[in-house]
Amino acid sequence: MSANEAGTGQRTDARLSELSPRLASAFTSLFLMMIVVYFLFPIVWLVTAASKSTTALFGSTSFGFSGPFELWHNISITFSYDGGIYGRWMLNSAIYSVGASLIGVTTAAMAGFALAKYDFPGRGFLFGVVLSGVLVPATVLALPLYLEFSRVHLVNTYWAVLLPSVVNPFGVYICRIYAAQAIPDDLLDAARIDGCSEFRIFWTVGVNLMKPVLVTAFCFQVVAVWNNFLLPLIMDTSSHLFPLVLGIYEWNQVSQRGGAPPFIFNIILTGSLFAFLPLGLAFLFLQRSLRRGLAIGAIQ
Amino acid sequence: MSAVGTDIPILRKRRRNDRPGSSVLAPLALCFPFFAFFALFVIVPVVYAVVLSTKEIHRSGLGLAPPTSRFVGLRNYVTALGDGRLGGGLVRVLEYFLVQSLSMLVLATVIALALDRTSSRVGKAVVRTVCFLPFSMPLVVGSVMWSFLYAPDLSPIVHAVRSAGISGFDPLSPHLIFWGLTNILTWEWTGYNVIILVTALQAVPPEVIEAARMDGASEWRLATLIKLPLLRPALVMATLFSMIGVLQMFGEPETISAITNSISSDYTPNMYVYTTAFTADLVNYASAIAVVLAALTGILSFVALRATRRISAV
Repeated sequence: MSANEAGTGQRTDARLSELSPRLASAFTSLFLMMIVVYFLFPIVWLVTAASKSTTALFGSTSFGFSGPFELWHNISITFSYDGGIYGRWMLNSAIYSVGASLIGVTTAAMAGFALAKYDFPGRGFLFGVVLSGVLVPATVLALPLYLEFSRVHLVNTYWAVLLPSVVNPFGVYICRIYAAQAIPDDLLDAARIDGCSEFRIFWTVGVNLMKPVLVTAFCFQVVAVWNNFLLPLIMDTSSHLFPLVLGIYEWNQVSQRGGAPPFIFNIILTGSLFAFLPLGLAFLFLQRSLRRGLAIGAIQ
Repeated sequence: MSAVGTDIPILRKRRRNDRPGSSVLAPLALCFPFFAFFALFVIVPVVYAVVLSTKEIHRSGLGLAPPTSRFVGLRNYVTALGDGRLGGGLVRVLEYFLVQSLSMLVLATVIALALDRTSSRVGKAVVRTVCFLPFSMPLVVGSVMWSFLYAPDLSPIVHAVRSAGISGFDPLSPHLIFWGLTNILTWEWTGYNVIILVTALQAVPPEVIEAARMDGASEWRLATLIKLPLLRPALVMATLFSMIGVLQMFGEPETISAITNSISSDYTPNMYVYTTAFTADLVNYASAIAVVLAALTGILSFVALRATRRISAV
């Protein structure tokens, strides 16, 4: 547009600088498309592989569907193999992750609210403890926890995985930051003047205003407990206590030992798909909430 | 009106100070459940591990008398310092950090910057979602999936590479397993870092970008001279978190080791702790190694925290 009015030298200049951004954004788009392919293709392959018969799985190296479409059959053998243990594992995963997260988020909300909204001696120290808990990864605790639990004979019980999973310092951390910003002191004072007890104030005013961050903390904890591998690996020896990930790990081990039925590879793949699907789908819907958690955790 | 306005704050203040008990007891009561769990399942096990690490099981010659444990001070730690299997694992995770973590962070930064300059809303949402999806896959499931994709007799990838002329290609072989695991870790964790960096980029004030554009800065210069320096605190933190992450590496190599002999039982320090405790049955020595790892992680975390604070203060 301005090139029409300008001289020829300026025109080529303008054209160049117009061309190069266009080229640059074409490159950007191409790059992002390649990235999408990289992250997506293993998941697509998992879906097609879970739909193959044993012969088709080993008979072809094709990326797409090949041979008869066996997904429904594979699902049925996955859930019926070994007396239907897979369904039990799925239920265990749900119990561990939802159970631990319900208690975990409740206790985290209480502590986060207290640390944000009250001035009391030891507050700084307690928050330091929470921070150190955020930074020490769960894997360094697995062996010490095993030693502690074997002393009190709780190894190889539901409690062995459930109780340690309750502790959610990251939840306290994001609840504290959120509560400090989202809950006005005046509102708490008004409730006090109305004669509310401190616990009632937390339960009515606090929890209501903290709802978004509670959802975030809950999501994170469910994901973390659902995916936790080392703790159940160390604690559980009876397969009826296994969560899904440990069950799949076990099937994968068994498949290499020999003596396993030939369809073991089909049920590993189908089982993997359905160990991922519940959280994968939840992710699609809860993305915003999870991103908020990362944002609070990373930036503040 | 004005009388009421001046009255109420005084009233509030007095009420708060009038009840000294409730303002200390209530927060402590609210904190109690969390810190009780924290003490029982974080502090107690750590202390117990430290205690065990200073002991040694002594068995009588014939094994007739029950084994007794005795105090040996720091001897387990001295042994750990000279333990080549632990040292080898530490060197290996350092290699993973230098190769995998750093290249992943470069990739995540490029993706984040590319996303930031993309104008299509739908495109942005799709890329962000797809990057983040592997993060929701349990790492055992991800490792099982990839180990199938590395298995020569059924993998479309191995098939493609072999038909492209590299006939001996086997990602599970001893000299390629490092790259195989590097790929798995990158696939799992890039999206998490992208989200952190994208969030940090959103915090860049739009006026800064606008002013640079007015001055005629190209998108390239905008990305390298303005956005990248502003990403520094987030990048420093992501780097240190990755370092802590690879130091803890366990699930991926442990899962893959089912189908290949390329991964030894002491491949990473955490795998070595696990083998020492449960295969070699040396619980006291395993505790000492676990404490060393916890201390290393603690130091790194502390450095991470200090570094992010100092950098964000600049």
